[in-house]
Amino acid sequence: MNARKLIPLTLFWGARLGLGVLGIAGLGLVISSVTAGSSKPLYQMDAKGLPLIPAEQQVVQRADRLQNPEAVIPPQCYTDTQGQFNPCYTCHQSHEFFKGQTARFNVMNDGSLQGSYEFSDVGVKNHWRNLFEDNQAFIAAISDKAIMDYIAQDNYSSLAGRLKAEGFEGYIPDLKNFAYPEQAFDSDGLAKDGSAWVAFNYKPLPSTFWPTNGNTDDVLIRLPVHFQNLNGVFNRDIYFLNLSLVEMSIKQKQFLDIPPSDETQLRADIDGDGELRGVVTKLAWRSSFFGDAADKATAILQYPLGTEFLHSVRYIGLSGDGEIVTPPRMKELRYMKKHRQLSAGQLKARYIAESVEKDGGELPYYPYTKANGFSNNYGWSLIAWIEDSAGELRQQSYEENLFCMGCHSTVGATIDQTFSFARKQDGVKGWRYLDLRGMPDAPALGQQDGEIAQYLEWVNGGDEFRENQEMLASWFTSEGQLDKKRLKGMDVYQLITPSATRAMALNKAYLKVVREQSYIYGRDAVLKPVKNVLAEVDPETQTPLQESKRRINWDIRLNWPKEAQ
Amino acid sequence: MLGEVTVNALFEKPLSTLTLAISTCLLLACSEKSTEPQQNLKITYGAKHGELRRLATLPMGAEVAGFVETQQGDIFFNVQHPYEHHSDNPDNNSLPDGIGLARIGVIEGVTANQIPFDFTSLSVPVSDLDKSRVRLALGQYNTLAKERDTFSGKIPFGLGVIPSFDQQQGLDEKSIAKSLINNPQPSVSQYFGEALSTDMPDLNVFVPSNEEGSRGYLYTAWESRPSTMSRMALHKKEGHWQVHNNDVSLVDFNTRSLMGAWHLCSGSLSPWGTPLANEEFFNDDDVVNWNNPDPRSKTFARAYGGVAFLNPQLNKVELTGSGEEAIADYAERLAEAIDIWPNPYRYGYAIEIEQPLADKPKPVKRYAMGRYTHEVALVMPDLKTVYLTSDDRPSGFFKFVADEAEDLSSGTLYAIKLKQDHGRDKAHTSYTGFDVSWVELGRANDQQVEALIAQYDNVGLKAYGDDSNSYIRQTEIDAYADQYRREGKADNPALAFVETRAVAVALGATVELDGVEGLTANYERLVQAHEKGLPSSMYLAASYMRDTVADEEGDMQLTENVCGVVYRMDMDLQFNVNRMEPEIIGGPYDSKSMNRCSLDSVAQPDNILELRDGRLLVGEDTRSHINNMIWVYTPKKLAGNQ
Repeated sequence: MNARKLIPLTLFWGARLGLGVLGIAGLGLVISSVTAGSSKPLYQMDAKGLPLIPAEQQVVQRADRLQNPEAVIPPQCYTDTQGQFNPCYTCHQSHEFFKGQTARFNVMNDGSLQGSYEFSDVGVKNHWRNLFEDNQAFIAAISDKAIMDYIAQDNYSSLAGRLKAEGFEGYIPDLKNFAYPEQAFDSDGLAKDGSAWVAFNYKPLPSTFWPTNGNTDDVLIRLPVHFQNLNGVFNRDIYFLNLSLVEMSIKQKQFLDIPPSDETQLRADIDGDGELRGVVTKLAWRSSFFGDAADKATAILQYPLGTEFLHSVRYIGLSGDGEIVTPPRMKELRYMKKHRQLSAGQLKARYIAESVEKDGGELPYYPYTKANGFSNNYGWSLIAWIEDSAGELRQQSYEENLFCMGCHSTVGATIDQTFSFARKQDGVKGWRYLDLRGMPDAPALGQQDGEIAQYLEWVNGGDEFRENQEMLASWFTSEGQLDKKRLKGMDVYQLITPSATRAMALNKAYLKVVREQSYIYGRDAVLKPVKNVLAEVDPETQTPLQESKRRINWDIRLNWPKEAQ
Repeated sequence: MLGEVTVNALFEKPLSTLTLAISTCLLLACSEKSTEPQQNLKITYGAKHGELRRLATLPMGAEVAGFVETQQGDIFFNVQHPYEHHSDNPDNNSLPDGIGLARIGVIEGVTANQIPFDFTSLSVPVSDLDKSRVRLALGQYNTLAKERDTFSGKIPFGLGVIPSFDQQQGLDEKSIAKSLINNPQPSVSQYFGEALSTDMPDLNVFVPSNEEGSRGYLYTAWESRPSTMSRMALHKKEGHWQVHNNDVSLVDFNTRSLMGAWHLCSGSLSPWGTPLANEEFFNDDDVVNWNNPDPRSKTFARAYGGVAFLNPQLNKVELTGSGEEAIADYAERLAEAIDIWPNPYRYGYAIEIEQPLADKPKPVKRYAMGRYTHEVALVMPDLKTVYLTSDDRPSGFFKFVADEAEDLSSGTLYAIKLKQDHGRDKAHTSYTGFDVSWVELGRANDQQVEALIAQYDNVGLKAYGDDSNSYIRQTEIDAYADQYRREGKADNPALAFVETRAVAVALGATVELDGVEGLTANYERLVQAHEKGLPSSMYLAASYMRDTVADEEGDMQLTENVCGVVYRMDMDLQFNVNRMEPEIIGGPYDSKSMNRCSLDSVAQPDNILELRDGRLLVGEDTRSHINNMIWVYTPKKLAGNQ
């Protein structure tokens, strides 16, 4: 029983209701957990063998208040780096243009925030209390079968109908069978239902998004209708050509391999050789898009106006063969759309404004509407849905949605506010639903070592908090040194997926957060209280990360080996 | 269902004003036993001697600027930088078109004198749509112009785009895209050289061209680095204002004598009918790095991105390669190609627009009023005294007294000296006032100052050295201050007008203000008071009261108030300010509320305007209200006259 939450709840309601019914009930619960001792699970179970958390112990959020005004600072930012371990570089980046890199639109240039703990007065307190929970009892109460049955349920398909019925004015999920990716997409990742969503294969960003740390996930992209069509009719070749141009834009590539496309039929010089010569498999960078988007100029490092992303975050599924797979149930469904194209100058002005506000110790501000979620101040709107206590997807609250800004607004590593599409496998190979098997541990652009290998080395662990014991056991010696020999020949799947046992434990641990609805206190799957994390930062005394351990000019894009293409 | 609470929550709720007042009184032992019998030491928020009502709420992300009250009582204001949803996406119809664009507009259907003193305060917006648009308690907002309007080609690249110095009128996004076509790896120069555009129309000044004030030119400043001003001919017909004949043009600051205008923000109309605009030059104290060619230097980026726009040849020098060698090489080539680097002393002044109704108005930089982060310049009825705010952190507050009436080219400059009423332990932003005196900084005229400025026109990048300062050094500033203190004059009088803030510090003025912005007094009321032999006042908006205001050093040691304060500045019969009193207190502040500053009072008051009837319009520039608001403050003494 979560005594820590119960006692204050009881005090509060006892005071307000003068020991009314709820107060007594609360007291009663406290008494029973105290007498029984803390290790014995005291959960009522539902018919599916999963623990229930009573309504009065669930988190209910106030409509006009935030428990954490700095919800944009995720739990990982409170890692105790001990001055030397750096998981921060994957988000906080500066790209000094003089290092031969292109000037970028993202000029947040916050690489100096790596391990600096430069928080506002609100941010110095770690509000992510779920990091300190011991969930062993809750986990022990759930059988593997019960959790497997739970995650095998499709909680996605009913969402669209429910949103329509309530008159929701924003994006309504329009992809059939998304709970079952093998049914939803063809072998090139194109949605079979004509919605034009396209799944792509990318390398998950280190390390919260590694399955071994709690989630499977996927990302889909969609361009506006005129990018899909030729003369008003959907044209698959045109669409993939335009998608490929967007990929080249984000990756700053001059050439990219594409599915076979017929130059004469499409009446376009696709490979840039000055002639129309039939079927080609190479696309050259050009000044404008194809098909009905021929009047749209291309531009580097940015998505076209109207680009959408759909991204599901899921439990860790297990196939019959014991493989880690994406299960049907979604923890979250996240959607973002580029609703405004800002020029480099406008973006620069906004990044400067944000930097001035941060210098002034101000708290973050993002416009919010119920229909569109948050505008991230840089041209994108983000909205998301998350499981209610029964597992049905509901719209995230203001504070839960605010969390998205931490990655998709206020950091310097992103390219046009996103990570995953920049990390897609190059070209044709990357146009399919996520599959980490056989994916090489490609190095980040400009680096030598495999990206995962390098992360393990720089962080000295397999997660930001260096507490994933399975990763430590797999890749580190008993003295805690990374054993690079063990990494040789491993593909991404082998490197970052958990064992079946661990997967089940993580799934069960997360269910507690669902049943409590305590997302605003942290949505990581926590098995035991995290040790290498700070509850409170004292800016005067906290040891920042050593200068020599900061990694700037690190690129989220990857140098995929030729064999992978 | 129980609320989400913790033990801490019991203490996180904002205490009511009454509770605070009582507890503070207990702490301070006020009432009869107070040691400050004349002072009422109660902490209160909101208006101290009157009432606050909401007149308007703006779209999310937007701030208010550009207040004007015309002769007939029309109220103009601008909507700056609304942060939008789906404003540009033709595929989405959930919000009206163009809702995310900055606008210049006017309240119609009601004039200032028709707004009742007890009008019903506007509610705070709740629905998505209401949060995304301008709402008024009375009347409607008529948009006269939006950013990017071209007025049938009169403004070829649209309002808000800053024309480049070589008169190319800026670059639009299509040409940027084109320039990047064959080179997906644009160089630094291409990146920085793209068109400057801004969504921040700030100062509005209406210069009437007829007696009734139903026709004239509306001057609007567009804030950016560098900056520009637009001028629109407006006619009012049957209560409805509109742009006349597409007579819209940009004021030309791109002359060799002016070298462009920097970040024009707020200002006023002088009593003799000339717009006074102001260059809000931040961090004038970092001039030492101005000609540091290291592209990693923050000041370099500012200089390059801003002023360098005025020197197109800078764009031809490119940074290639990587590493320390490449930087050194770039610095060298830049120094070779551009041995004359833009002069920082050319920027940071008040600008008077002479001949505002002529075909080509003539902007003149008033060097004699000093160089700092100018915000508003306000001329008093003696036609000599000018008060000037400076929006920097920390900042001073300045007074200029011209030698001749209506002639701002020559005079004496002063900086404010504040003496706060209470010691640090008792002082509070909500009730502590200040005695005001003035420190004389210097006397000069425009020509003298320009002569000093011109000495730095030829400072190039080669002159930069790590240990030296190519510009005015602290030793020179100290020497000036020493001599002025001893002799009341200086050998180089112009120095105080070019390094104004540093001289103010050296001479012991109060340079601790934080984010001081708007300054206003209704001119007719000042004249009337003067004719009756009565003292008068101005209002000053301090958008924040923190950092140097709230520390334990210097002349200002108050409690912090991040919601801001509007002060009343009292003047004697010679228009000399001698007292500063808090009038409207923003807050209280609660970091966990979605509207962090209380909705019952102002948050970060910025632009303010005293109306002819003595009421005060207060416009916000805040992140602590989800929607910025326009308030009407009705002083108690006025309400009695209704």
